This record gives sequence, structure tokens and C-alpha cells, in this order.
Amino acid sequence: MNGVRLYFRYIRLHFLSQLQYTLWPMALLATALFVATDPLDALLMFDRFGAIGEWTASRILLMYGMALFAFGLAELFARGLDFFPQLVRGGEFDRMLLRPRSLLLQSMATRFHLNRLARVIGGLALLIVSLRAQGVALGVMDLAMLALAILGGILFYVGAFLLAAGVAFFTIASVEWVNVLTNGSYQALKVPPQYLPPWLRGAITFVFPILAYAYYPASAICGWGEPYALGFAALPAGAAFFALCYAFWRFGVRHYKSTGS
Amino acid sequence: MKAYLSILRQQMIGQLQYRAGFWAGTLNHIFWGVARAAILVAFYLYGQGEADITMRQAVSMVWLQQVAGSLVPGWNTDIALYTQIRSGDVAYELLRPMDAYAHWYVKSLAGRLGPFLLVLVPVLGAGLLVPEPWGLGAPASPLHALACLLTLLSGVFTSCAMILLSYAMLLDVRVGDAPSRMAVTVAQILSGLYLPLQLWPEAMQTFLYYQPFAGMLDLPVRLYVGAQPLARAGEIVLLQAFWTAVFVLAGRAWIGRSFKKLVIQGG
Amino acid sequence: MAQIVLQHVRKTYRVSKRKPGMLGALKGAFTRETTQIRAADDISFSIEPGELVGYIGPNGAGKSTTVKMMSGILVPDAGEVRILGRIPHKQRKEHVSHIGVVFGQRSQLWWDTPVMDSFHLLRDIYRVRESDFKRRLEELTGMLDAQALLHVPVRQLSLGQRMKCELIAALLHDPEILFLDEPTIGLDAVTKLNLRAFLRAHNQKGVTMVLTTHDMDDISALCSRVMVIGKGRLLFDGDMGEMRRRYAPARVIKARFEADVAPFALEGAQSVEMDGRAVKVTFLPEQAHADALIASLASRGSLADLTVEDTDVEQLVADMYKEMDR
Repeated sequence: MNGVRLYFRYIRLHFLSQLQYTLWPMALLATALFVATDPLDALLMFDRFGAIGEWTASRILLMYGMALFAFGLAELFARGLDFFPQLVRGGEFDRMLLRPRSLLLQSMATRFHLNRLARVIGGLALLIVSLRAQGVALGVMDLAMLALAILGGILFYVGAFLLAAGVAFFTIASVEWVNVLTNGSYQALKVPPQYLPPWLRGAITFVFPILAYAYYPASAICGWGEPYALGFAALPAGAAFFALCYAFWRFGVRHYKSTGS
Repeated sequence: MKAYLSILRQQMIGQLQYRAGFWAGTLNHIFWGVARAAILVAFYLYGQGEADITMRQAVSMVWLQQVAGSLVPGWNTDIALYTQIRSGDVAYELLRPMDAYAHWYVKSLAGRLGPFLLVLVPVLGAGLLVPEPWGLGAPASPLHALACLLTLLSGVFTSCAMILLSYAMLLDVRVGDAPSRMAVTVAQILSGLYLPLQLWPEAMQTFLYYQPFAGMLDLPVRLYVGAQPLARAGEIVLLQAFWTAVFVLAGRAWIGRSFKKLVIQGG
Repeated sequence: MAQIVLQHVRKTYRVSKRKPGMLGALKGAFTRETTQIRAADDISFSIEPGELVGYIGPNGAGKSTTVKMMSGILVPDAGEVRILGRIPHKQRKEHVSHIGVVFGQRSQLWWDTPVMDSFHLLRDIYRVRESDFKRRLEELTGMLDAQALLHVPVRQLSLGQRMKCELIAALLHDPEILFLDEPTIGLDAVTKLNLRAFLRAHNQKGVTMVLTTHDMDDISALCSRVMVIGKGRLLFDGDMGEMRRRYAPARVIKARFEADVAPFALEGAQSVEMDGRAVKVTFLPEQAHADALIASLASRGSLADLTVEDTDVEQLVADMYKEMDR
């Protein structure tokens, strides 16, 4: 049985075991509420201050929705990586080493929380609503770019998760700071890039390439003025970041095998 | 009483064990302070709208939110207690010669104060070093700063009382942790953690002032920037005390009922 | 051809220490004091296919370190580990396909779902053919009498039931070698007997087993060969008989006279203890024969009761551990 099929086998198992708990829709609701807190400040500020230049709420929410959707999907499928410190400490990682399968696959599949769908649905909804609000018509090329951008975003986020998980091999501390990369990355999208102070704009262009998979593709599709081709930068940027993070994670695995727990 | 103090001490030592976690958490807070400040500045400078608080005040408040954020109900620091309740090990609590409520309350206090004391100096320092307009500004006066600190500390009691109430929910409603989580999320939103309450719509302001969670973070922080006159400090403390009493009574009653059920039905 | 070979294996850990109290914790936030622990200090041994070897030692002696190195989870600092011709940590996936590991205190089964679901997932993980899987499952559940457990969620199983399922889980993919880490811990007497019978039977089929345990009855019942590790060093590697001869050669005759008897001495005995009508004679087999001593005893008076015992194995091992501390 190849890796992908095995992965979905794992998911099925989690799914079944979570359905055992009645009222899981409630858990979905709780997550939805939590997810709603995120754009809350931007929405309230837009309500009070109106638009920023020509940047209306719907433009911001498009980029934000794309990021949320990509993040949600990344979280949904690679959830296990969030729990990596516990996996290592509790000995579950040892058990993974004893199985003749990819460590990455096992780590990602080790948890699956249905309620993470809240971000996926929320992000998709925001995306669709804001595209509608701007009256944008999507051609085939646009749709392709959108799909690739989301994929690039997913790779970026899974990479960030891997980075945090890799750190768990070296220290027993929590990995809060990865929130800076992940949550923080799409926080900065609440304000149009031109209005951000240069140092912050630089950070989000080079350190975490969110502009690549949210701003440039959105601009390309809606015609905000940036070069169309840049919209395709999302996938390669995400893939490159993922490759780096994966290399770090493997380094962590080697370190773990030579020092034990 | 001595037992409780030593629990408090032990819990706080436990917090200090995680070296890298301390640095990571601090950097996290500093980043958030800067990012949130930048977002607010962009709105104030380039948007068209008005607010009761000035940009400088709003930015300072955002920094103080990062400094004092751990005082507000949240999940990260209480995870040990939370998993204990989830897994049903509460039976052990009944075996101890201590009031379970008081025991958890004290643990909760430590869980709030520990991280707060740890990030207080570094984040405050970073905030003061960040240049205008994104940095933490000086307080309206030293007295204002003191009033802020004192009301923050008195607010912790309200915070913990609310957390204990959410534990009561966990204990009772065995369908998962959803209601409890929602309650905590609501508490965080209404405490002003995501946006200073005075930036919310005008129509809500009276409600926002008197609701129980404002006293946990927003009201004390207003004192620092002078968005609320010093004379109001006493009123704030009274509000906090009122809500603390409400939460404590509700929490004790609920937990007491749950324990009785536990004893009758068996763990 | 030896299946498991360790040569001059070394492994050292660094452990950080911190002083208690507030001040210590604050200091600990900035500095770290470490000490070195030699978990494996020049360990060498080899195990042939089909052996059932016991591996004992005090806590912290390095047992689990050795087992981890043999499983491939841990990389030795020096020396070589070769199992089935492979170096475990270098060829992880091939290596783990041929071994099974049972941890007494940790479960590899999925908690909330029926046991069968875990088995199905393991079948997929180890790429076991459906026909082989069905056959193995039937065989193993039959031997352990676990058919009724298959559809029960793991969290509802008792410890004994769970251990049976853990054993099945570890053997589903037909490994040549089985490592067991404290498998009988916390189990009741009946389950222990069943488990031991199962392990013995399975070992007869040719599965090599390495058993780490604190339960000396396990060792006595199952293992002809025992390895003793202390402070990272291999102190003894041989059969139980030899271990006894070297470390606790004394045997004991316990008897009870039917009537009171005057105190006496026995030639060849190490010591004679009397307590009312009960008598305990300690002797070394190389210095005296049991039958000669028994005859001697019987000549003193009518015996109501008589047994001949070896030094309690527990005692033997405890004495060995005490030796190590010196």
C-alpha cells in the first residue's frame, strides 16, 4: 500500500474515533468562533475608519481569505506536526521509528481534527465572497493561478510546521514562536502592503513569502496593478521554503537518533 | 494557607524551567506588539474615521495587551490542569485534605502570574525601545502607571474565577471541551485582547464597559494611557470585585455539584 | 551465523542538573550543568537465531539503551551493532520490517477504536499480504485466546487483555526477532503464565527473543541464557546455572523434625540454623552432597518435612546489584 493511501487510512481511523464523541458539531462551532476572532480587529477597524486609500474591506479579505484557506488546509492535513513535542516526549516518535514507513507521513497522520475544517470553510467563504464583492470574473488562467497560489501557501505553512516540529528534537520547550511565522504571516495581510512600514514589508516579502501566495496572485486576478506573472511565484516560493524546512527536520531526526530522549 | 503559598511557589518554579520557551514566548509577544501597532497606525494615518482614543494611546494599549495578555483566560498555560480534568483524574482531588476549588484557583493564579512576571520586563523594555509611532509610549503619569499595574493585579482574581467557571463546565458537560473553549474565547475577545474596546462601535461602549471581562485587561490598560481618568480607578476595582464574586459563587456551586455527582456515580 | 551481534558498543549521555528552589530555577534559565552517564560501556555479545535471552539489570543500568540501539532508534557512539546482517540505524525501514518490539508500559494500539482497526492499519503499514495477515491473525489469536477481544475498543481492555493484543500487534508481520521490554509488568499471575507459555511456544517456532525484565520468575521460566548489565557494563553472559554457580552457589535444605532435637553440627555444611523444630542447612554443592547431608539429618531424628532449594533468584540478583554499587 503506497504512502498516500496509507495516509488516508490513518485519517479514516481518526475520523471514526472522533465521531464517537457526540456533539462534535459543537467543537466545530467553538473553533469557528476562535477563527472568527482573527479578522475581528480588521473588520471593526474597517467599520470605524472606512477604507485605506482604495483598499476596501473586500480587497483585504480576499488576501486574508486565501491565506486562511491555505493555512486551514495545511493544518487539516499536517495537524500531527503541531503535536510533535508531545510525540517526542511521550515516546510515540520512537514507535514511528520502528515502523517501515516515512517518518514525515506518520508524523502528519498522527492527528486529525475535524474541527479544523472551520478555517478551511471560513477561508474559502471569505475568498468567494470577496471575489464576488469586487465583481471579478475569473478566466481559466486566473483559476489555475489561484489553485497554484493556494498550493504554494499550503507548502509554505506545512514547511513552517515542520520547522517547529524539528525544533522539538533539540529542546523540550514549546514552539509558540512558530505562531509568529504562521499566524503572524497572515496578520500582516490585514493592511495593504504599501501602507506597512518598509521594514515590515521587507520582512513579509523575504522572510515569510506571504506576498507571493496572497498579494501577487490576488493582484493578478483582480487587476490591482502588479505584474501578472508574479502571481505564479507562489508555488516555487512555497516549495523552496518547504524543502529547507524538511532538510532541517531530517537534521533533527538524525540528532534525535544520536542523543536519545 | 501555607499549603497554598507553597503550591503557588512550586508552580512558578515550574514555569521557569523552560528556558527556550521563555525566549520564544517573549519574542512572540514583541513581534505581535509591533505587528498590531503597525496595523493600527496604518488605519489611523490612512483611513477616514474617528476614535475616542488617539493613535498613540491605541498603540500603547496594544503593547500593554502583549505584556499583560497572560493574565486573561487562555489555554496555553493551564494545559496540565485541563488535561487532568479531561482524563477524569479529578478523583485524586477528592483525596487531598484541601478545598479542590481553592487548590485549582491557586494553581490558576500561578499560571497567570508566572508568565506575566517573566515577560513583563523584556516586552515592556522592547516596547519602550521601538521608535515612534509603533512603540509603547510613556504613561500619562507615574501614578497612572501604578494604577494600571494595581488594577491589572486585582483583575487577575476575576480572570482566575472565570477560568474556574470554565473548568466547572469541563467537569460537568462531558460532551467534550467545546462549551468551555467558547467561553474562554468570548472572554478573550471581550477583554479587549484582540482590539482595545474603545475602538469597537460606539453603540456598544456602555455594554463593553460594564461586562465582566473588561476589567481583566482593557479597563486597567486604559488607566495607563489616561483614556480613563484616575478617579475612575476605584470604580474599576469595584466592578472587578463584583464580577469576581459572581464567578466564584457560580464556579463553586457548579463544581460542588459536579463533585457530588462524581462521588455518587463513581469516577 | 549469529543473528544479533554487538561489538564494543558505547553510548554516553549528557544529563543536565538543576538546583532546587527559586534561585536554582532562575539560574537554570541561563546556565546548565551537565554530568555524563555511561549507558553502554564496551558492550559485546552475540545471539544466535532462535535463542530466548533474558536481559536484566538495575534501573538506569543501560538496558533500554541497548535495546534502543538494537531496534535502530539510537545510534551508538562507538562500536558496531549488526542485526540480520544490517546496521539498524542505517537501514531503518528494512531493519524494522524484520523485528517486533513490545513495550510493557507504552501501547502501540490506537486508543479509541476496536483492536481490529489497529491490526488492519498495521497490516497496511507493514505491507502484509491479506492471506498472510488472515493466517497470522488466526494463529496468534488462537494461541492467546484473544478472539473475543478483537472488536473491543482498546481503552476498554484490561491490562492483561491489552498485553495480549500488543503481542499480536508486534508479531503480525512475522518478524524474526522480538524485543520485549517489561511485558509482564502489572499483570496478574494467570495472565503471566499464559503469556510465558505463549512466548515459549512462539520461540520454539524459531523466533529469537530478547526479554528485558525485572520479574525474575519470567527469567527462570523462560530463559536459559541471561545477560546482566550494570552501570553500562556487561557483567555476566551465560546460562542460569552458571550464574548461580558463580554468584550464589549455596543450596539450602529446609527440614522439620517431629520431636525436639538437641543442637548439632553437620560435616560439610556451611551453616546449620535451628528454630525450634525447624532447621535450615546451607551448603555448597562442591563441598557436600545433598543426599549425604539428608541422611545425616535423618539420623538425628524423624523428619516431618523436607525440601531442597537453590538460593532464591531474586536474592541472587539483589546481591549482584549490591556488588555493583560497591
